[in-house]
Amino acid sequence: MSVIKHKDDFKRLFDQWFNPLCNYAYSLITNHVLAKDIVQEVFLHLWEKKDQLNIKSDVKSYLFKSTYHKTIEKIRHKKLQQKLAKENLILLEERSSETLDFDHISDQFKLKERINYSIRQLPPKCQEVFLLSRKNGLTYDEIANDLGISKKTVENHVMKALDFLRKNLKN
Amino acid sequence: MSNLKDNIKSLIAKALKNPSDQAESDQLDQWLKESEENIKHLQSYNELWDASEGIHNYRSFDSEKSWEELNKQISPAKSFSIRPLLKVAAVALVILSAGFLLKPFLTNHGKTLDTGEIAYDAPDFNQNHTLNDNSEIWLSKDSKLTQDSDFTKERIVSLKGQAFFDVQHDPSRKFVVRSGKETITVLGTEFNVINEDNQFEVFVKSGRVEVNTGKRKIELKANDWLIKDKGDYIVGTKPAVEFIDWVGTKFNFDNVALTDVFRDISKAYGIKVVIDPAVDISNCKITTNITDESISEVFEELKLIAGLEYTFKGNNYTVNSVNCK
Repeated sequence: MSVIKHKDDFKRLFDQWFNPLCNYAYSLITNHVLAKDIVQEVFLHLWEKKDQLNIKSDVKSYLFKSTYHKTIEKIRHKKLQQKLAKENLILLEERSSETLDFDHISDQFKLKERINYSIRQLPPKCQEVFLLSRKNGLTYDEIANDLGISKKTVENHVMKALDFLRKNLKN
Repeated sequence: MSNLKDNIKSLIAKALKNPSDQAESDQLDQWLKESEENIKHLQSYNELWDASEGIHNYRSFDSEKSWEELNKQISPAKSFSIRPLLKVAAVALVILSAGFLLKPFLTNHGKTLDTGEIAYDAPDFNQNHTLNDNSEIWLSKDSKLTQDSDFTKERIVSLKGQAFFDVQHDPSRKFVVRSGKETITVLGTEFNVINEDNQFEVFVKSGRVEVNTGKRKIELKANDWLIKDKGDYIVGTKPAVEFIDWVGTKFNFDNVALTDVFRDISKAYGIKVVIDPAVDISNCKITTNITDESISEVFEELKLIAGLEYTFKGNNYTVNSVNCK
């Protein structure tokens, strides 16, 4: 059974999932242009095959799974020279796609999408501190030092951001 | 709820980032013991903290531009739909009386020239035509095929460019392709011909074909590949896959056993599929259409719909696992 009967259905899926998918592809391939190309291909493929594909799981898992496979294929084919990309491929190949829960991955990225949207509405300083705090390895002390503010202020910003997210993401 | 005491907030903030020291950890535990709500409160912070991991890398891609690009590729106007033409013709049929207007319909496959010949071309893209003996031809872009006779006694066509022929079997009427110097007489069914300025090639996919070079006759069988090199004719073999690539393959698998799917695509693409002995594909069935796809796309497709895991080396594909429900 096809879930896409009209272009409107397709556009709705696109609007809903394009950005989360691009970010997912980016998390695997760490190249924005390629990530966008991959997701565009995934949607084009979905459109062309909309009547034929026997989508066993729901469409969001399908989209994430397609993106995953296309990304691996891209990494493999383009033989990206970047060291990082190569390391990624090794990581990816270690777990077979069978063990990946695309339903869970799609939920994760949907939440990330909403968090990202909410964070953008925070005051600039609070936004900056929170983003830095989620960067691996940066301690509050280091952030405080970098920005020339007190550690206490850093903690306040982080908690303010989390409170804001809590309020915004209720439901 | 967000009016937590500053010191608690500070403790939570610290706990998120680093393991707190013992004193701080005890203080937090104390606070958690105070109420169920406090536990939930901490949980929601933790969840958001985990969910926002790597959020500094999250960005907004230009979805509007991407949609525009995508929309261009999926809009029906670009898919060379024949429908609008039919509509116009149908309207015309109502207004004028039928009769002669039917003619353009019937000769839809080719143009009748003043000389009585029928011309087929492919100005925009590779095109598939059915001749009036039900033989099918695929003309590669910019190629031309002319039907010399009306096919009553002999079926004679002339080719400029490249075409793939699937000739209707008919022992009473020979099928002949003229291409300048050479004449190709069909004894069997499917073959590919390239006849361009300095290039002449015939590839036989199945059946038998006889090529008359003007000096001698060369008989070709399935998988034979005749190529003209500086006036000499050389016969070799070539994998079918290249020809199929431009002709386009069409499969309509409707709940077909995976074993049969592999048999068909192996044949069509000239590849070999090996199933890992540990893998049981006997109860896998597939429903999909494959049209004009490369072999790697076909396998990607199978990966998506049947959880196929595979490796390949050249034309040898090994299936390592499947996931059919």
